[in-house]
Amino acid sequence: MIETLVALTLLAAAAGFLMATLGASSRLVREVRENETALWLARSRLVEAAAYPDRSPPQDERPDRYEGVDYLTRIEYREVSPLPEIDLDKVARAFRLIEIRVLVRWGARPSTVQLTAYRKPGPEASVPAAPVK
Amino acid sequence: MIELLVAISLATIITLLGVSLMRTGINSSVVNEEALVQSQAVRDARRLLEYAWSARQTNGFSGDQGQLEFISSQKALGTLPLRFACRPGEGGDYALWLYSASPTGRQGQPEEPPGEMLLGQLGECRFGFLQAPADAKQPAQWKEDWPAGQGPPALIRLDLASLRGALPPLILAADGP
Repeated sequence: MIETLVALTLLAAAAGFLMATLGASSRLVREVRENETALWLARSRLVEAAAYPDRSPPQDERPDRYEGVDYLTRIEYREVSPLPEIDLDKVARAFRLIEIRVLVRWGARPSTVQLTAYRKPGPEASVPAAPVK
Repeated sequence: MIELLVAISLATIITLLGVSLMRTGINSSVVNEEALVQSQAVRDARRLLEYAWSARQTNGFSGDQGQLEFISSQKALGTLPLRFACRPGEGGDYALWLYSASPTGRQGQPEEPPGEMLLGQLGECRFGFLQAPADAKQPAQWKEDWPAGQGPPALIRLDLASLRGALPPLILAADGP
């Protein structure tokens, strides 16, 4: 009788340990998928922004929902010098670059992904394409 | 006697609970495995499209909502017209296919070349093409069709959705990979 109960208790403990392992594995898979989604989202937004830079981008965050998770994307533009010691006001336009920074944030905790790219400033500002619904 | 019955009942309950938990855990593990396999397939398909696109030729580009055709000079792919096509599946889902040539049939009619399915079980698969405006102050427009002879568009996007929901679009630029 006691032996049976002890055996069952051990079995329950083993099952609990297995469940905890499977739960941790599920959580890890979910985190990897969310990270990958955020990275792809940031890459796409960066390509889009580099092709059509807006000199005065909206400062609010753009929401997207992928596979049941909400992502917030923020695109920042900044004029920079390729050489930090050069004063931007004193150099010609040819020596300036536009820094495009894309930040994607998601989750309650929250997690973030950030990508940065540089492009030459265009002669005139372009208007970014309207987002596809 | 009563103690034995109680013990057997307890044992049965604990065993059933254990089996139920194990089944839930295994199901969850299978779902995770499937999700990982699909993630890998999506990643591979996107990388293949980026790889082919990075060595595209300026001529021979055309596309519509369901397909994208261009000539890639990647040696691994051969200098052939490549066609990435979204095709409906049997269960109402979509699949992304890659066709590597457009041979002519025996009677001179175009024939569907043998293709390779890159991705299956998609909830959505659609191409879009961004037309750069003549005036930079006008907004650029995403179009559903891009006839041959216009040269490549400014941007290409591939919208995909798995059966779990939408995925981020893949956006390719005309002047870069």
